[in-house]
Amino acid sequence: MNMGNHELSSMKLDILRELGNIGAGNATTALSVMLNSNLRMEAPLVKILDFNAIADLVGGPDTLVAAVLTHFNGAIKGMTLFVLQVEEARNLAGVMLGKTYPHDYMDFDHMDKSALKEVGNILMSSYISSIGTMTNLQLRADPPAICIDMAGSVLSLPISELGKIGDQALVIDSKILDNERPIDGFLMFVTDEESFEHIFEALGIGC
Amino acid sequence: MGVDMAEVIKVGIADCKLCKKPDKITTIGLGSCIGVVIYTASDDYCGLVHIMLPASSEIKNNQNRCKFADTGIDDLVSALEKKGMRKASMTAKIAGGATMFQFSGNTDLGSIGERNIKAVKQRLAYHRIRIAAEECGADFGRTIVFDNGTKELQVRSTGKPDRIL
Repeated sequence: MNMGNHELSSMKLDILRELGNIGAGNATTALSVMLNSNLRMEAPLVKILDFNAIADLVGGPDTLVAAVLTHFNGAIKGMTLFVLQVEEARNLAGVMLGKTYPHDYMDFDHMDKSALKEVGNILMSSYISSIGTMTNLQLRADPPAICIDMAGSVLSLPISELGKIGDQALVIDSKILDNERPIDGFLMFVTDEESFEHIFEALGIGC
Repeated sequence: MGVDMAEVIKVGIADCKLCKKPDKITTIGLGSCIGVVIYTASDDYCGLVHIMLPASSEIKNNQNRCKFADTGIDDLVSALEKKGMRKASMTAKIAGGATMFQFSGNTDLGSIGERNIKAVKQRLAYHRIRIAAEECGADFGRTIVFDNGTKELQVRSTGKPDRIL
């Protein structure tokens, strides 16, 4: 996906959007089963963004966020991220653990982090497995890692990976709704040029 | 006192800018990336490059020269030379190169911060530019602000006191 030089055709973008839709839909179902709550997901927006615009999705590079990152490998390689503003992360950890945190709570302990990691893991592994099912490609997700810090710093790892192939990123901006209250966050799907070609080939679309 | 006319110039990811006294220059949210400030004791100009990857030669798509330690530092040095500054007087302050995610499995992606630190130091040494101060590595993000008047580099992180380098 050499987006630095040539743009993705609108058909390919539609396909990516659809992959994002199905993947994210399955991911929310898995999450709502786990949390036993009424989660829905808005149709995701697939965006191609300049690096410096990605952090703006969560309020700018100095906004505090919690991000869960998983590498996947197999027929296609890359990483997915689930990024939340820190207030949303606190709410989500509260739902998971049945706790209420003070509104300025910042000292996420081991339990809080594992709860968030678990949410990220469920979202991202069901997302990755949907892509695997649709493309009939074998994909395996590694154990996730979590980081809570400034958005710019947290995003530096995926952005550096993307930087090897261009100056832009494909972001699947998915809004999760908990009983109509939005949990503002996004999923980011990062893969290399070769892997994108494998996806399109597997779906029977020539590059 | 009159109105403070000084501005703070923002440098984005894989971006490079110059700054003239009394303005300050900043880059927000360095993670594995490195902020390299180059200045001299007497000149009004200084510059900051936000480096993302160690080497342009490892990457096919390397048109954005600010992205890499080698070409990013080369370009910053020549931009400052064009302002009449002498390379022999140039000094650097650097910050960043953190490892933000700790993975349990084996992956070399986490070490990109470490590779960036090494590459930046090598390139500065190649230009014989001394590093006057640095805060690199560890596992947290950094925002940096350089004041070319005082030559101080302020480093801010979440949940930690600010440092002055």
